Amino acid sequence: MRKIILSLCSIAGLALFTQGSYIKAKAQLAQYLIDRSWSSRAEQQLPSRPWPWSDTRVIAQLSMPEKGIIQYVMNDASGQALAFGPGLLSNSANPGHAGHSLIAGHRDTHFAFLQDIEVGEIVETRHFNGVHARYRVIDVSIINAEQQQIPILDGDKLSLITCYPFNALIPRGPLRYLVTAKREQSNQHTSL
Amino acid sequence: MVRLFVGVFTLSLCILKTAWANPEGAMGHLEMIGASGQKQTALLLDTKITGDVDGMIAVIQVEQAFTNQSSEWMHGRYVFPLPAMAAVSDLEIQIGERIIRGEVQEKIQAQKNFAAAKKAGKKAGLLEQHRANLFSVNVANLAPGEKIITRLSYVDRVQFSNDLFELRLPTTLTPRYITGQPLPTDEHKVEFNPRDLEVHGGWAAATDNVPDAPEITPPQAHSLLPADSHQFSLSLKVNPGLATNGVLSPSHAIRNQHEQADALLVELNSGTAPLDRDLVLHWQARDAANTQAAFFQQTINHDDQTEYYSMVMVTPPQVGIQALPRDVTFVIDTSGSMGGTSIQQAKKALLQALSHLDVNDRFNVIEFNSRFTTLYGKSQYATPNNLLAAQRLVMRLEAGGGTEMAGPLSFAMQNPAEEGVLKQIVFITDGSVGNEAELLGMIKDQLGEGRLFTVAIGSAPNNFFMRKAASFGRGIYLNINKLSEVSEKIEQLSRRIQQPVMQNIRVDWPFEVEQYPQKLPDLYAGEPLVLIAKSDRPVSEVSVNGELQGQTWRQRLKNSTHNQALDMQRLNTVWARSKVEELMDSLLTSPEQADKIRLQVIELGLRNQLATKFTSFIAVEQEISRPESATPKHSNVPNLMPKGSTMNAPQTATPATILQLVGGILLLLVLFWQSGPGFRWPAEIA
Repeated sequence: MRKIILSLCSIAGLALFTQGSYIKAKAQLAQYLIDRSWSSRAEQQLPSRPWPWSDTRVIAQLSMPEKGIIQYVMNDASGQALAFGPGLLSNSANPGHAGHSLIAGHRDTHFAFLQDIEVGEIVETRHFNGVHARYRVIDVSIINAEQQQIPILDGDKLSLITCYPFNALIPRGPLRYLVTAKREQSNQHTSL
Repeated sequence: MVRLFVGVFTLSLCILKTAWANPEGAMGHLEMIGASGQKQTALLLDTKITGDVDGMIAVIQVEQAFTNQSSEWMHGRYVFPLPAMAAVSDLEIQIGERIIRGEVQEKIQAQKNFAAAKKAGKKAGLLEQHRANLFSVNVANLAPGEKIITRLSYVDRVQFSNDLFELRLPTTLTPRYITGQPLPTDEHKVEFNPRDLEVHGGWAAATDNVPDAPEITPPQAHSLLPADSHQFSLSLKVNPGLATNGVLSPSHAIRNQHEQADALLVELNSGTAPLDRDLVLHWQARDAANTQAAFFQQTINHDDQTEYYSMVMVTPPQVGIQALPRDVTFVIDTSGSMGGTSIQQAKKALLQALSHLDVNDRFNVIEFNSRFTTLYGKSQYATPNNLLAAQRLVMRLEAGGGTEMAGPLSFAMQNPAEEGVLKQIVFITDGSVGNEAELLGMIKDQLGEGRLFTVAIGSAPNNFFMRKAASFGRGIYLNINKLSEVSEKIEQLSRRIQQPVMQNIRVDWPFEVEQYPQKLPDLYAGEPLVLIAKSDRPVSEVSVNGELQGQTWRQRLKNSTHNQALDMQRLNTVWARSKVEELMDSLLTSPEQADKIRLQVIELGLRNQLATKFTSFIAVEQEISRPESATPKHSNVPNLMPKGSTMNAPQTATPATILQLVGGILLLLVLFWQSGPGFRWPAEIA
C-alpha cells in the first residue's frame, strides 16, 4: 500500500515538475528558434517558420538594448501564441506604425522583465518590414482588469501588458501591470 | 505522519485544480466599457440620416459633416458601413453654401483625380466601396475651423421574412479580423505604400488573404473626445403601402408621427444617438394575407425606347414540420470581437438551439477563435447525456483570440452525413472578418449536400457576409439584436429549418426578360421569393412554379395597372445593383473571368451612376482654396466600438511556477517518507 502511494506520488510529482519546467523551457526554446529564423530572414521579408509545424507568426522584435533584452512578438495574443512569446492584441496598431500598439506577455516568462522597467527608459521595436521605432516609457501603472479598461490612447504609443503581481503563484488574477511608452520622433521609417 | 502527507497532498490537488483550470493562461477578458480610454478626433463628425421608405424600396440620404477642430489644414478619411444591398447612387459635397455634385469614375481614375485635387489645394470628396457593406469617404483641404458636408444617397430593399418587414441601417463596424501572412511592404506597392499607411491609418497590415486590410481597419474606440462627435439624427418617412401597427425598433427608442394615410414619420426619441450599433426598424401588416404576393412595376422613358422594371415578391404557403432526422453541426465564434454582450447572446442562442434537437438527430459543436476545438470527433446522437456534455462546453466558453473561420467551417462542411439525413450547419458569429470572398468561395466548394444557416450576433455584425454565407450555403440567416430576442428567434429558426423547402422554383415570363437573381434559391417556410427583371415591354402577368414535398405549387401574379400604390420608383437602381451582385458572385465562382467581370461592373457602375467595388464617386471644387504655405495634416476619423463589446486582454501568467512547486513538494514528501522513522518532523508541524 505504502509502496503504491509512494510510487504514485513520485510519478505525479515528477510529471507536475516536468510540466512546469516544460512551459518555461518551451518559452525559452521558442524564442531561440524564432531568433534564428528572424536573423536569417531576407530583408523586409516575413521570417520563415521558426519550426516546421509552427502556426504562429512573428511580426516584430521588441528590445531594450541597454538591458540586453530581445523578444519576438507574435501576431496573436491567444493562449497558445503567448506560450511562445509576447503577442500583439488584435485590433491594435502594428509596432512602429501609426496608432496605439498593445502587446501582452506572460509575467513569469517573457514579460518578467517589465517589473524592472522605469519611466524614461527606451523600448525599441523593429517590424519585420523594416520599420524601426523608439518608444520612451511615460507611465507604469497597475489596473484592475475587472473594473477598468486598457485605455486606447491617441498618437503613436506602445503599451506592454502583463499580469500582476509578478510573483503570484496562482494564475488568472484580475490585476494587470501596464507599461506605456510614447514614440520618439527620430528614426521614422529607417530601414534595416 | 500519514495525516500530514494526505493533508499536503490534498492541498496540492486544490492548488493544482485552480492552476490547471486554464493551462498556459487561456483567455480572460478585460472590460472596455469604462469612462477612461478615450480617443480624440481632430475632425468632428455629425451624421444625419433622412429618407423615404415606399413599400419595399427605401431611398436614404446620409449626411456626414466633418468639422476641422484643429488649427491646421486637414485631409480626412472615414470608414463607415452601409446595408449589404445598398446601391449608392449619388454623392455631393457642400462647403458653406457651395454644393458640388459628384460623379462616378473608374476607381483608380477617381483616386488619381482626388490625389491631384488634394495636392493642388482644392476641396474634394471621394467615396469608395471596399466591401458590399463597407465604404469610405475622403475629404481634402479643410481649413482650420471649416466644415465640409458629404451627402450620399442610396437605395435599399426592405427585407421581408416571416411576416416581418425590416430595414436595417448600420452605423459602425465590428473590427474585422485579418487572417493570412503579412505581405512584405514592397510587394503591393501599386495599391499601397508606406506613405499611404498614414492615409489609410488601418491598424492591420496587408496580408496575402486580405491585401486591402489597411483600408478596412479604421481606428476604433469606446468613447471619443469630444463627446458630441459621432452622433446621428434620424428622420424617415415610412409609407408601408398597407395598414400597420406602426414602426418598432428593437435597437433604439423611436417615435412615430402619423402623416397622411398609412405613412409615418420615424424619429429618434432622444433626438440623436451614438453611431455604435445598427438601427433596426420593423413593421408588420395588420392583415398578413396582404403580404403573400406583390407585383411592382416602373416605366422609364428614354428618347428612343422605354424600359420596364418589374419586381415580384411571393411567399409560398407553409406546411408542417418534416420528420426527417438531422445531423446538425453548431459552429460558434468565440473570438475577441465577440467579447461582451455578443458572446452572451451566442451562448444563449446555442443552448437554445441544442434544446430543439430530437433524440434521432445527430449533432456536434465546434468552438473557434485562433484555433478550433470540437466537442466530438464526429457527430453523436442527441441523447440527454451528450446534450449535457454540450451544454457544459457552451457554458464554459469565453471570448478571446483571432477569428480563423476557414478551419472550423471546413470541418463542419466535410462532416459525412448519412443518406436520408439532413446535413445542417448552424453558424453563430458576428462575421467580422476581412477575407469574406475566400470564405464564401470555400462554402460554395465544400458544402456538398449540406445547408448552412447563419445567426448574426452583436450590435454591428457583418451582414453582407452573414447574408451571403447563408445564400451560398442554401440556407437562411437571421439577426439577433439583443439577448431578450434569442429564445424567440432561435425557436423560429429551429422550426423553419425543420420544415420542407420549396425546390425547383421557376418563373414563367410572357417573353424574354433579364432577371436577377438568375438562379432562383430554394425557399424556406416564411421566406419570400424576391426577383427583379428588366424588359422592353410591360409585363402584365407572371407565373411562379415550385415543388413542395413532391407537390407542384403554382401562383399567378397580375400587374393590376389600376393600383397606383404598386407603381414603384428606383426599381432601375435596384435592378442594376442586383446585376452587380450577380457579377460579383460570379467573380467568386469563375475567377478566371475576373478581368471581363471587372469591365462589366465598371460599365454598369458608370452607366447607372453606382458606386461599386470598381467605381467610385468623386466631387472636386474647381477653385483652389488652400494657400501654398499651409502643410495639411491627415486625420483618420475613428469609429465607435459596437455597443456592449469589450476589448480583450489575455491572461498573462502561466501555471509553470505552481506546477514546479507542487511537483517539488510531492517529490520531497516521497523522499522524506522513504527515509523512514529515522527522520523527525519539527515539533511544531508534527
